[in-house]
Amino acid sequence: MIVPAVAREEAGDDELIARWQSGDERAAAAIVERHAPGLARFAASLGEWEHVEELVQDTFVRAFESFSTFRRESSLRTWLFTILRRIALDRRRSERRRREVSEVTPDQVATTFGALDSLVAEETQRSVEAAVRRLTRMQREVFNLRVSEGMSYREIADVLGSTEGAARVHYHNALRAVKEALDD
Amino acid sequence: MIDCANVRIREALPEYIHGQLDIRQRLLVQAHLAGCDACSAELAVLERCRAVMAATPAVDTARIVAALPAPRSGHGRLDPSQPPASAATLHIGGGRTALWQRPAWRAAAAVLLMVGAAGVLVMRGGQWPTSERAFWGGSVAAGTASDAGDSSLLASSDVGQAPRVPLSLGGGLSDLSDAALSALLNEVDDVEALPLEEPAPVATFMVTDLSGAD
Repeated sequence: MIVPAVAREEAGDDELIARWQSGDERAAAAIVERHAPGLARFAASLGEWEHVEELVQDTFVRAFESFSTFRRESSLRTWLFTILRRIALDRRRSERRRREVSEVTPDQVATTFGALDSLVAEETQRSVEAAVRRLTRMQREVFNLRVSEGMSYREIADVLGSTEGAARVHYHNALRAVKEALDD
Repeated sequence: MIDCANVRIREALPEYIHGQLDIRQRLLVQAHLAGCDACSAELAVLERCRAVMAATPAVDTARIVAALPAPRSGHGRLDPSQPPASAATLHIGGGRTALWQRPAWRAAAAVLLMVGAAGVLVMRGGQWPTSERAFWGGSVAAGTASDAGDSSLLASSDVGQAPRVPLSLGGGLSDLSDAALSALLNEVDDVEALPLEEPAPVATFMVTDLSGAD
């Protein structure tokens, strides 16, 4: 049976990288379109509301300049998340904005995620955001990667430079804290 | 809110909401949720959180693509028509290393060669040709061995580890006295190059499926 082209699976990341290295610019666009949304969400979860696009762009530029060092020990997605997190941490250190997340006002959040109001009741949105904001930085990152991005503990450990066991502990501590906050 | 004691189900809930479970695992989770209020409540919390956190800030992907560097010509290109490069350059461009060039496979191949050579020596243990007996207790005169093929086999095998002793041609094993024969056999037993037992089979690795939930 002949499988029509539209039914074939999308090209994997390895194939797209190889195609780009051979000069196919459409492969680069496919990589960016595939991974930009997840990176943008992750950047937002790190508190980088005002610099999301800049962070995502810097991440892709660094990645495309460094594909020769990408050893495929983890997935491309994990590697990109690792790069973005490192850039965000460097930016935070240089600008000394460690408390920015806790200073975000509900209005700012509403502006950034304006389209969300039509999907989730405003009260639910505020309560969940407040609960997540009360987590420690590590708990928040682990919880976001697990719940929002569906990453495994192995992938989370790779992104954060931690261990699977630590990621599991942080996740369950975060989940317990969020449940208690939502119950209040 | 009391947590369910079924850790396996609770650990699977994030994968469940992301559709990452296979059909069997999904049905198991659904069956559990139908009878567990705690897990149903936890699932609801996760889905609420995901809905809020899944809001994606808009980014201009076209502008990002325009800012990307151009691929460097001739650097790291994957050209399947070309033979594999040396191991020192294979990692450039992130190309996959050929199986035969990976250090682990090279080591395994070397071990197999040595085991095979040792196995050949063991198989020939009861029938030492004259030239081979001479290796252990005499001297060799070039071109005089009647079974030169066995000599060449010895030469190609890894017997370089055996102790070098003066070699001489002599008669067959039946010409040796009991004491000399016993001494010869003791020398053979002492040589580390000859394994005293059958070589162990090469280890194989099997991947077991650990994903099933009861």
